[in-house]
Amino acid sequence: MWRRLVRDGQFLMALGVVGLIVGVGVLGPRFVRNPHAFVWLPNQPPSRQFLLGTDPFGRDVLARLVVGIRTSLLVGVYAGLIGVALGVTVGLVSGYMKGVAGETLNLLTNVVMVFPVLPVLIILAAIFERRSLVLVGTIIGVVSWPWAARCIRAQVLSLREREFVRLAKISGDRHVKIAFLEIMPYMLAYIVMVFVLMLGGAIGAEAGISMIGLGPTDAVSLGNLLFWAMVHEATRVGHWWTFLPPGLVLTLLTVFSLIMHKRMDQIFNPRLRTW
Amino acid sequence: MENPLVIVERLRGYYVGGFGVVHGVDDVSLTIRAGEGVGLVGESGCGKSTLAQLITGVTGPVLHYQGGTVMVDGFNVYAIPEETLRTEVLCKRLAYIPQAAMDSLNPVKRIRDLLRDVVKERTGRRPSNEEVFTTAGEHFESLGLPRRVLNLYPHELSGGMKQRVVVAISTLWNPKILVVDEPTSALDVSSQKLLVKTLMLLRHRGTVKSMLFITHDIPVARQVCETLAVMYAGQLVEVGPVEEVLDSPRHPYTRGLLSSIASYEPHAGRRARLECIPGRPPDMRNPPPGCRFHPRCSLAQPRCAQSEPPEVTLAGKRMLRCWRFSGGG
Amino acid sequence: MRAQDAAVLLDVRQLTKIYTSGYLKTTRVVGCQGVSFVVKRGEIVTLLGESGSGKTTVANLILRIFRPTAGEILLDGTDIFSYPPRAYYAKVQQVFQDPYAAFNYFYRIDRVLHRALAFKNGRMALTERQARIMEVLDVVGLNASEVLGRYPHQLSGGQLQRLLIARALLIEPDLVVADEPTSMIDASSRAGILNHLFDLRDRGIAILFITHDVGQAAYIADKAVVMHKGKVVEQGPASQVLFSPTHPYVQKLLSDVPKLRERWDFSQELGTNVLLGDSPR
Repeated sequence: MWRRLVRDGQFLMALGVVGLIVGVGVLGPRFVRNPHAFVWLPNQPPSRQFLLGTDPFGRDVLARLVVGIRTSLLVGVYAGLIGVALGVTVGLVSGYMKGVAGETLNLLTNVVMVFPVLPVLIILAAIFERRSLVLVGTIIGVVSWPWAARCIRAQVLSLREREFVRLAKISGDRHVKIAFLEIMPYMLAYIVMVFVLMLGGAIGAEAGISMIGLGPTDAVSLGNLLFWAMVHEATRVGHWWTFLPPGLVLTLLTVFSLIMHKRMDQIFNPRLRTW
Repeated sequence: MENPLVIVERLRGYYVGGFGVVHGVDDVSLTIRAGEGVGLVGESGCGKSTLAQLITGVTGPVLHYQGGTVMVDGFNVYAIPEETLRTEVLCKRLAYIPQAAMDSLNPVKRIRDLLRDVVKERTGRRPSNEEVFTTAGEHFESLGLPRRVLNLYPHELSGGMKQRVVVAISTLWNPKILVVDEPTSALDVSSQKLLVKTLMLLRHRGTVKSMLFITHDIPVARQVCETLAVMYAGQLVEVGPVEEVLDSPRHPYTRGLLSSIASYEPHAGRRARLECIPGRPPDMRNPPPGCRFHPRCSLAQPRCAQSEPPEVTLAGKRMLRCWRFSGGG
Repeated sequence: MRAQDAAVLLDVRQLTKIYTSGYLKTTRVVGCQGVSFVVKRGEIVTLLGESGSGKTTVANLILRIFRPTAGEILLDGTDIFSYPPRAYYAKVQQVFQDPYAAFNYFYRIDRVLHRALAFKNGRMALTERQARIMEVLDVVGLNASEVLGRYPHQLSGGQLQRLLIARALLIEPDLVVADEPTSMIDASSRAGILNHLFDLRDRGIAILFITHDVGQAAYIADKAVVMHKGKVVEQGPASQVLFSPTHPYVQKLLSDVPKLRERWDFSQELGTNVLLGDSPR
């Protein structure tokens, strides 16, 4: 199964693009100038010295982009981990427990899912005056777990009826043991896939709240760059180097993580499997 | 029984794909005469469905014709252009009902709408509902299906009825040859008997002249055919008149297979202990050298592992592929 | 070897299961109704019926997958739902219809055998466990070197099914419920599976063999219980019910079964134009 994945052209290409961006975000900050420092004349278009020019404050846009990628990724990873942890737990329990417990959790999942995400994010973000990366990541994760929970619950519901689970039951295994030793292995691939999707979604969500100024305080992130570009009306004055690069990177990240997810789904989804 | 309608000679067909090359059918020769019903039996994976597909000439993206000839009512299936195959052979002379055909009935169309599409494909003209009702309705009723079935959706019919509808649609234009693949496996015992009755009725009336009936259920094959052909690992191992083959099987595989099925025999009383054939059918990517059955055969000799036994016909009626029956044995 | 006494092991009394769906329980489907029969120790009883006859419902009730709407099932005189789960499954085990689905793909098959031993015997020395496993593999005709240490997808359906029977031998329950255990096995291997069920019986284990295949039922069963549309229509010794039945449904069922040595005679009906058929749903 994994072997089929690593030979898949589309997946490898998407992985390559995402990997490249992640690589830049992880290693890049060491090689660029200080993103906060005022290093040159403001509003300079790209030149040999400043590959992406400078912003209205005279800061190096390339440095801000690279550091911004790292910040956005970090927030995305925090949000993804929290979303997956919450989603898998709720999904596993609500899928496996029959009766009142399972139904109640399902109801909770559906209710939280229906909450309009952006207003909630705005309210939560506005409550906290100083917002750290972890906080923003947590907020996004807490709002996006229902999606993961539903996917996992659906998987568990079908796995629960399989004969090997029956076999475990009539061999005297307890529920917890069955959930983790029998059902979980079948879901590992799926969980990874869900994480990849949440990562893409979280990066987009972070960009969303950063663009309205409610992102991590004083941090440089992709959304933050777009926020400042909006504030300084970069589109009107034609300073494309301040908004096009972050927008492009954001688009590439979300689209290609979606493609990765799509290919993983096509290979891992039990409905498409032959066994 | 008269002249041959279907002549298959040394037919070979392989599946080619990312998994390698799987020998579906390897050197099969078979003749079906006018008025003859041939039952093709074997276990799953032996190649019987593959053989049916190769006879119709409609091979899929993975199945490739590799050699041999197939003559259907005078047409050389692999030597004529595709369009001729479609218009002359498949539309007029040979009807093929593949496995699980009843699942292919469009669930959102009534039977009569499906028929209108079929007629349009064949004649280029789309008939009206009334026309379909009268002409097809007659054919349906002659097979014991009430005319109102035409107005129903597939999910409103039972499994047995759906299968009979499929048979009725496939025989609307009196095909000389009917090839049916496992028509009874999903049906319960009573529906099974009804379907067999329908097929026998078609043959009795002359609507269908010859039939190739493919199944893994040997007692059902017994009810339908005069000639039994036993297939193993892509080859025919024994062919002969059905009562003779069942009463005195000669090939070790046929013997083993017959003594391993728990069939219901009210006149024989309780059965003696069943014996199963040791081992399992070979991986058709790498069939065993020599006789393909030799690894599981209790009567195997050194010769069996070295060279493949040819098809040998005894007394004009029994064909065997076994070294014990050809020269020296 | 346990002595085969004629004591009653499983007593099914007026068992009824009605499936309802919808919050207001408006849709009702009868699974089974008023089913009563008895399985004695060391006896092979076949529950014979076509699809929809209710035999799988009865099997699921006996395996405690869900509760009956009415009636009771007694094991050794006690209601089965009063047993704690482990105690019940120490006495009643299952052989599955689809051997491929019964194994978890991520683990080697040895795990299933070791857990079976651990189920009743708790801590057992590794050498003793291995000896017992070798013993049962021999009984079911499996070559230990061919199956131990393998993953399920590396083995055939017949081998996996024999492993499930070996597992039942290791647990040594009083009753094994086998629901269509040969339907997913190649024809040439089926006989082996059926014969190994005899091995279970020889060890004093009773078997409830659920099938729609009359031939297999006739081969294996001591007693036959025939079901139709959720009810028991006839039951008794297999030689009687399957060879000289009294109930008209059973008579028709048996006459509809294709036989190797006989041909159906349609000559009467082929003369006419109209067939008697089943009606659409």
